[in-house]
Amino acid sequence: MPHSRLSRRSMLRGLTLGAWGGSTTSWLPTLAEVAAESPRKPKSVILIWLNGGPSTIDLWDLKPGHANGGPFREIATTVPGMRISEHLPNLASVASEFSIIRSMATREGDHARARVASLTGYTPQGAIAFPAIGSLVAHEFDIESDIPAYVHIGGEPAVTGGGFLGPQYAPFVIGGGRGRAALEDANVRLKVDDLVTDVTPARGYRLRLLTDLRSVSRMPSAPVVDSLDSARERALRLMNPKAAAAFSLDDEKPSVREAYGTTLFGQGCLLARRLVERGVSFVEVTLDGWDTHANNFEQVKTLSQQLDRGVASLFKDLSDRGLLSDTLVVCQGEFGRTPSINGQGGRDHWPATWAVMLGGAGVRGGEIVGRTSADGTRLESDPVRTADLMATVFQGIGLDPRKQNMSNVGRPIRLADPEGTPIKELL
Amino acid sequence: MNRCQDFSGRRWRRRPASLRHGTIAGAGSSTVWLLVVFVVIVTARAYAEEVTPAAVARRIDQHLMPKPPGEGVSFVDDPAFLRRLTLDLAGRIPAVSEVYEYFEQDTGARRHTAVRRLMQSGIYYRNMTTFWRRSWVPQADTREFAAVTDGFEVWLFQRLRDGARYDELVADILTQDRSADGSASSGPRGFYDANLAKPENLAASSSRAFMGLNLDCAQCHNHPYSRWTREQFWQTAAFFAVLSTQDLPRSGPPKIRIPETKTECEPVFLTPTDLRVPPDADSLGLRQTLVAWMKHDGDRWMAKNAVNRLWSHFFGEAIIEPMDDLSAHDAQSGPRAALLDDLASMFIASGYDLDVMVEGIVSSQPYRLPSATASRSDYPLTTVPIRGLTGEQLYDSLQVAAGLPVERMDLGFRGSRSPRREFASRFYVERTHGAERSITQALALMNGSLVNDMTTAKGNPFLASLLTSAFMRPDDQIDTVFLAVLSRHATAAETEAVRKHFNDNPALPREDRLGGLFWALVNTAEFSTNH
Repeated sequence: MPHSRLSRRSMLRGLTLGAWGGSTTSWLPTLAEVAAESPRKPKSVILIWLNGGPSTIDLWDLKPGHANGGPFREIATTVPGMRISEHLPNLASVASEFSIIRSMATREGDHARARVASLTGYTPQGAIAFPAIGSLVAHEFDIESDIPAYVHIGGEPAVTGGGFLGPQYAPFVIGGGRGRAALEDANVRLKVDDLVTDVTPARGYRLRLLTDLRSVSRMPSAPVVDSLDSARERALRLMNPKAAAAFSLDDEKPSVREAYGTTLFGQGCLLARRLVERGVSFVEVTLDGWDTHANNFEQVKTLSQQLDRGVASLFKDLSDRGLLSDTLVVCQGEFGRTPSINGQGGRDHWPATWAVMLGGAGVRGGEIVGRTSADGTRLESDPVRTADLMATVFQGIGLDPRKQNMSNVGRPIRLADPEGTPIKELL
Repeated sequence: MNRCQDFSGRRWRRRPASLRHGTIAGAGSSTVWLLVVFVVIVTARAYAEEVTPAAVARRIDQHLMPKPPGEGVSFVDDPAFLRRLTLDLAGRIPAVSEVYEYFEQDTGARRHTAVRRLMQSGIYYRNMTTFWRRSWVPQADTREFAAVTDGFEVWLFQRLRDGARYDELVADILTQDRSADGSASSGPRGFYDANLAKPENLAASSSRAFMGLNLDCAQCHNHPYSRWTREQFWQTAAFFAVLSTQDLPRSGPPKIRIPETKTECEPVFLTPTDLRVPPDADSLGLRQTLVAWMKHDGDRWMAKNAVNRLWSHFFGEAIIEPMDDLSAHDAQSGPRAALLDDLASMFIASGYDLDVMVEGIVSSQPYRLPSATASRSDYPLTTVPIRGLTGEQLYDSLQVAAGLPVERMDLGFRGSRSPRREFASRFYVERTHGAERSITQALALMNGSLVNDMTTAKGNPFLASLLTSAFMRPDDQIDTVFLAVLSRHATAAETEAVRKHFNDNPALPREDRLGGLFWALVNTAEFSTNH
């Protein structure tokens, strides 16, 4: 039963909260030190999610001299032979930290379906509630912490719950989600609303009361009820001042904040660094706006500048702090875009040939995997499927892609679709 | 070349040659379909008197409750029934006064009395407005389209309150005059706006919302497992084609081109029918023909879809899941298909009377079954799923628990800018039986200003009146808070737990103690669910 595990954990946490009941000066002191900065062992993943389907032919696999190439020029990087877009100069200077897969080939050309397939690594099958890779990684490392183990920054996760792993592995979403006004100010959007950390006597009383009432409640166990209890318990743990401090970007030096870029995305990358520093297993940072059916080049140029500044700073910062060897950074969207340029100067959906950038923990940097034809429409090497990429990511962070978890339909499901094989050149 | 028309190999696309080529004169065909509509209406009206809520309830019981109660089947107690019923019909928990009143009534008749009372209130129509709007225009729950459908809800509320039939509502939406004044404050045009008035969006949304058919995948390619072809998708889209008056007179029906192909499709119905598209039909005429087919269609998808979705409002899970794939092979047989088929027949025979179906469903025995896990059990039913409250239900229930008035739709409606809509958007759930609560939502409910204002006498009239009832014993005060928030009495264990915390915090003012109890109860899983 997938939910019996949750019930057991819920009960344990309920007891902890009850035992803590006497104290009114700090939150959950027995757990507090876990959220503190400590020497980290388990790996983390930062997924830079380029929402809408990035034009990777204008980022990582340019076609200069061909009509499909468009106006962008290539520039050299610190890695001989690796050339990328002229609008990614900072990334070019840290190119030895990452590799590029130029032979991604997938099937889904519809945003919603492609997102689910990219994030779960599986094609939807009947009633199986496939979890996102973020939930899988959080579940495998299972770090005991007051900070949620899977955090999504700046968008709306395509897979909202924890799938068959249960609600405690659902992404914690900040800076996006439904019902948030479209605020551009990164400081306002990345603030966690209603995160109260000071405990007045009245607050302590009512929290203890709530815990005791839960313990005598007659509500039966059901997924809907478990989700409510789990969310409340995880919210309470986040109210631990040390956990909450992970989200206060004001603690960073102005020069650091400036380096990442003052955009929502740039500050999201900085927040991702703060989170992995504190042991968070999986962080997604969304950069939206890549669905460039019209006016592709102007938009991709602007987006590239944000991407370049945020991700290059992230690589440098992680490296300077000794975190890069434990943190895998993956940069992708749900598919690529047509090599041919349409009548509106745009590019349309194209899952047949596209590129992914990745670097950090367990993955060799400075490599180029695969090759596309001169016009960008065909692969001239073996295709890399989503399942292969998934297997590579899991292997890179030291997890066995063939590890099985019991699904909601009573069938064991492997971390990565067994059709996938890790990419040897990168490991 | 017209591949779209020439293709005829698949079962559902085969039709007589005369239909394929639209050879019958326009005036004649218009008369034919008008006649068919007339016959359908007259037939439906003739049966209308026979379909009562009690008959609908009996039919549901026959399908789902073959055993008499008592043989391994139990029902929820009456207070639990009142809460469930009020949440489903009025979209909020019962006020404490309603709970008291209910307790005082004769146990034999009070369930029925409550159903009648709630269904005659304006809030019932407001609640069903939200439900049907969400079913038909789900886009309005996204930030992008939040505002464009305000007028849609105002219009729908008025139509439902005035007793409009379901088929009339569908016709109103699909056959509205789009050239009419766009600044009208109410009207069904939000359906067009949310679909960007694009034929392909309208085809997909109409099929999904009004027929329970999923054509989306067929938009781009022929899906190997789908029953619908790409041509059929675009033939449906052709009913929504934008026609320019310069095109008239045309030699035949309007055509729509499949993007990036040379294939042009003209309007063709998804299923075989005697109806035909008048070759000279204008934009309105095309859509009128489509609506006529939807009602006339032998599979009765329009009625089945309505009943199936309505069922999900009261049980979380619909009779057939997924709700937008009624044409799926395994949805055509078995006990679920039989129930849906029967109820769709009664719905048509009732004259598409939603109120008859609603009253029938809530009067049935399955509606009184205890709630348990959401796992899909096969019929006959012994339990029903626990459902999460929608954002609207949660907001209105908080207001009611605190003794505050519920925002009315007919007076000073503030649409997408109201605090209620803002809250509902933050607490949006797609399907109630699979509702998920996020950490962000939990934080808002625990620490947000809405709930925290309700922990003070100033922001909570119910609490204020409780605090002035000095003669009330502490245990009775505790029990009253349970009645106001959870619509039931406190158990002995709960009373004891609360009393203990009252005693442990003698320094806290009584307002804080009772306000804290209110806060704790609205933060329980019990408050956030319909069970």
